[in-house]
Amino acid sequence: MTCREFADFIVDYLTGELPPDQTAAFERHLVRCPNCPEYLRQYRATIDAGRAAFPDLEAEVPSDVPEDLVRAILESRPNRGA
Amino acid sequence: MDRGLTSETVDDAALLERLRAGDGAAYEALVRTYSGRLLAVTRRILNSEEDARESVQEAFVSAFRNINRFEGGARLSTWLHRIAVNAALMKLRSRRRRPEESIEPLLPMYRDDGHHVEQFQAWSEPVDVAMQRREMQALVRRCIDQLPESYRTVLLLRDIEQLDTDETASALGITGNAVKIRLHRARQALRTLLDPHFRSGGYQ
Repeated sequence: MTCREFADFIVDYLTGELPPDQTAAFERHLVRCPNCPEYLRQYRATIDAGRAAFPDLEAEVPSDVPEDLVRAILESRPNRGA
Repeated sequence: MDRGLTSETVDDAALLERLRAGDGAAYEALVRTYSGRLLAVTRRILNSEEDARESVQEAFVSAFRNINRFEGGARLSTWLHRIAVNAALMKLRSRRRRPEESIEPLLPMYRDDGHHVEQFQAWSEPVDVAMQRREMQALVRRCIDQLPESYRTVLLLRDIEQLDTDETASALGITGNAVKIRLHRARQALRTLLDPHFRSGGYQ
């Protein structure tokens, strides 16, 4: 397996969707290649960094909603006054 | 994420019944409970505060119109999250102005034999430690914003909003395979953009 093929398998490898024979080839490359273990580490770290870049996501902190926006939304509800 | 039968699900059922009966107080409760979370979603996808607010309003209009079609199997919050994502994507499409730049220069380069040209150097500190700092959070958000739009959107939906491949494909009107390819390239490109900063501990 080349580094290019290894890279193309990363998405499915990380979600466990890579078939067993390709997983074995992927892991063999990982042991032999001097470069790809670090690439895989950084690829994973990139996913983690992306998520951590939005701290409101983890904490599920809602944004402050301006009162005029709340009112505008409520104006658009059906059967007002029902 | 817990998607089981929680007190929130039970409350959802009671709230839905009142919404379907046209109870004004229930509409207000729905908007006050969820608008902050939905605004956070549209702000992550859109760079403009005005667009983010308009998308939240459009999301609620769509939710009000379709409230009778909501099925009890999902949580109300999950259903509203999808609607907000779709509203933000529609806004994004209507606002797209400039032609997209190629992602190629941000992808890894290979020699003729298929091996990497670059020798990757280890990053200087664990990402979870670096990402505690606000300036690193802002820096990573800026790098995500530098991705070509069609890649940035897939990365946001899959890795940040945590939609699955099929949900992302259906939201964007592309195949699942196209989602996987774009996600992979987006992550590779983001790694390239982060590399100089993480190598030097964020001081570059």
